[in-house]
Amino acid sequence: MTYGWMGNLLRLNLTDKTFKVEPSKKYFSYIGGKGIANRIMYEEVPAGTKPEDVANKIVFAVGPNTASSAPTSGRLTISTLSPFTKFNAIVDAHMGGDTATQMKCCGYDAVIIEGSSDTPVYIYVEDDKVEFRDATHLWGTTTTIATKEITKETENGTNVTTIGPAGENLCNLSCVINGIAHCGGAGLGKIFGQKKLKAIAFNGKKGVQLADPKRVKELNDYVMKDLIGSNNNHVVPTVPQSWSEYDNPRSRWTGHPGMTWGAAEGGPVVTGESAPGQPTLVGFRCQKAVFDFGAVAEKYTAKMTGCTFCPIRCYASMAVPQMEKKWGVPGRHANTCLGNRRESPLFLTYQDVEEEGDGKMMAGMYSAILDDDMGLWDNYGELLATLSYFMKDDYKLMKQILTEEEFAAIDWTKRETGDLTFLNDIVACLINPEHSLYNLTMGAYYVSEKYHDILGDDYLHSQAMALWGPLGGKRHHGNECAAQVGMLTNILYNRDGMCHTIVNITGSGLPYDIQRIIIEDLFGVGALDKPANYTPINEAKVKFAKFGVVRQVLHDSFTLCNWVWPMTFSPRKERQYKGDLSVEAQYMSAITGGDWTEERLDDAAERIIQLHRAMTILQAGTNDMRNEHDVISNFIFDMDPDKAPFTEGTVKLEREDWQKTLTLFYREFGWDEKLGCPTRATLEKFDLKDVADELEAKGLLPA
Amino acid sequence: MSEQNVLTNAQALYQCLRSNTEKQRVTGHKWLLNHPVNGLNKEEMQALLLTIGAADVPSELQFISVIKGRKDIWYFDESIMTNQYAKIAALIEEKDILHTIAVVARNDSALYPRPAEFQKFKNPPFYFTEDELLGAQARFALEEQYADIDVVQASNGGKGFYSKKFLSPVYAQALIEKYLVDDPENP
Repeated sequence: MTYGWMGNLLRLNLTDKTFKVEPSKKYFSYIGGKGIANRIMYEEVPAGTKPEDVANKIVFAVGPNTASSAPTSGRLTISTLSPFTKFNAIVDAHMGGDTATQMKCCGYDAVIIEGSSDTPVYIYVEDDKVEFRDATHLWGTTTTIATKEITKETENGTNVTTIGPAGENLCNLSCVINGIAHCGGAGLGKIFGQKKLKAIAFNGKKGVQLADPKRVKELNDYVMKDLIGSNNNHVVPTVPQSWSEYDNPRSRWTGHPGMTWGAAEGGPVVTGESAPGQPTLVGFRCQKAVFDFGAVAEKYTAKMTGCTFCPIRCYASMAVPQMEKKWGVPGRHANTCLGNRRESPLFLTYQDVEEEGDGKMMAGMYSAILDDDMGLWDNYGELLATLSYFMKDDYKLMKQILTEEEFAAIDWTKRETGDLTFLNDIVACLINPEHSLYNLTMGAYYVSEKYHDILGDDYLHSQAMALWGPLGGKRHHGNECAAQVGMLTNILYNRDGMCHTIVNITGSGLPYDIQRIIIEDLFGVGALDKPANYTPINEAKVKFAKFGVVRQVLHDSFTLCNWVWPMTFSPRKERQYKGDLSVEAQYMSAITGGDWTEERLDDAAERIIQLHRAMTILQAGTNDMRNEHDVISNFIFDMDPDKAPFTEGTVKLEREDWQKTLTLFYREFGWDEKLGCPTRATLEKFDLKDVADELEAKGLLPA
Repeated sequence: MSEQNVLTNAQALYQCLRSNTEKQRVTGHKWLLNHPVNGLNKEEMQALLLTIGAADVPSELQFISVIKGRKDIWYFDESIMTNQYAKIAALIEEKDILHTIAVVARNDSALYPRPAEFQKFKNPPFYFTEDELLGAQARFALEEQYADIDVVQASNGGKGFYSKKFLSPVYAQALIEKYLVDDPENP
């Protein structure tokens, strides 16, 4: 019997509407999730393939931990080629909701979608049953309607992952959505649309076999009682509470005495104190509506929701009947973080309805509903940043890219008066291939390419865009998060990094000295600087950064939620706030029956990074990663012009120090220190000889 | 009450202090003298309270801890309340807004480090109003003992109190901007 893994992968061919079940065992050494998906992409999609080509594939993958019952084990990785960043190299979407669990319970560790259909289809998978169904009647519908219709057409309990009109119309910045709220980005909507795949629906009835269920239960109890905090594993509450030594207003441990889910069915539910050691109260810690929208959101919070097997509940389920009355849209929606904001900051004012501040909240919710319905992806705020950039200076750039008729047809005064239907007008243009505004959904790199004559280099390198680099990925916990450490976690990827390992530490809410002691104990003296007061690079920081990405990749492969893990810290004073970084390995052993140590599991995760790096090099056709891929935006060096690097109050990096940072980072991964590409010795150390051979054949191994 | 349910003086005092601690409150020495437990007189109550923290403390009171405030002595059950929270609870009981803000601002500036946001003082357990905070800001400038307390403002208008003993004005300004503007924009 196979424990943890299901032992099968499902191959779906859209061209001839056939499917095949194949053994997945040969991929177990890639853990699962990202590891399996990336390896399949490496083996089956030749370097040089374009995202739009029929040869491009979509790989859904889960890992041995997925749906094991471990807290936050409901995550899924979906890999494909990036349609929105330079090189069109490998990218992953990391999706929550219920898809991961349903897919795995159908019996599959991975689902490979290949080929392309001539007409719209959706795929329904119910355990061993696989059906390619006509989706002509769904083409053009919103994600909400498509989800509801497919749910009606299939067995009770089906989870639907679908695209909206943005994906159908091949916007680069489009996504898939499951459960009407949970997004998988990375331009996946376009790849679905290109293949005429409206949706994939899973209804799984199988179970995951655990080698040692009793031990898994013990680990669950341990995590829930002793280690877990709130969203981003923040381990102190926002306000002083009687059980806590510390507080932090920026913490996502938002619940406290007096705070409620104000719109809960049956009356307000008090979140109260939820001290460590009380697993049944963990779900009251994160009141994300208030965190995202402010105090005004409390009375509109119906409950907190989230992914399968997640006790944190970071999705704010809102009930705002005033939305329906005032704007004619459904007054209920759930989302989190930037998903609760989208393009709403474009407004120059907001129309409050009942009290001061509710207009801004409703604008955020309205924008979320609209974007989710259309399957439009904000790319961690990049779409908003691009629109703002083109609207600045009295629409100077907008007037240059739109025709006179197009510009005149948009009522820009709505933006000034806070009329939310402005968003309908803008989004309709954004997803219309015939409209010039559509070009702004190409992703920043392609926007810059197309409009370079009017943008110059400023757009890609500006602080207003806040990209990590001209490759087009949004900065995501970069230099503003532990300076060089955060920045290093951005540059490995072909999109925004989405690495939360480091920000979960710096944002934990604990005092700096407590953080520093724990982190220095792990990585060496000087690993963690004070906030907004950092020092030149050192080896300890580089090890800390490597830990950040290794654990992120581990979580995206295992799977676990990197928005919560790793358990670097604990909320418990009696542990001196020290977490436990061996828990993932303990789970791996208990679930699979193998003998996994922390070091062995980290090595398995690093192997995936090595593969990912090699795949990026193969797709880019150059191994000069230092100068072609890992280049960071100018604003990161030039921000705060009145302050010098390494002085109090700035996180601007210093150019020479950054080059040294790259050299140390490359050395840490066993890469060529000048180029930043893996050497044959390193690849062979990670049992990637075939990859080294291909790089060598293409002249992409360092001399 | 049956004989077996009669509480000792130490047990009765513990029940009283525990009950208040469970309500996230500390209990004042003066109040206890005016509300003795078990029918004790003031002197007997004083003697019982003096055992707290002493070598011969009754076992029932071993988890009771003491905070010496400016206006009173405060008791709490350290098994369910941290010393840090008890200090805040004592400050709130003493109702000296300037002293409360200054203590918290100095602590936050030195410890985390960060300015203490105005919003923090509007939230529980403080519940100060905007007017009270603006009034305190104005009065800090007039009192020598609070010469180190200043206010920084972020670009979104949010403010925080900080202590110049622990944070330079430049650093305090950068931190308030980070916590009120930059971090929320990069969640």
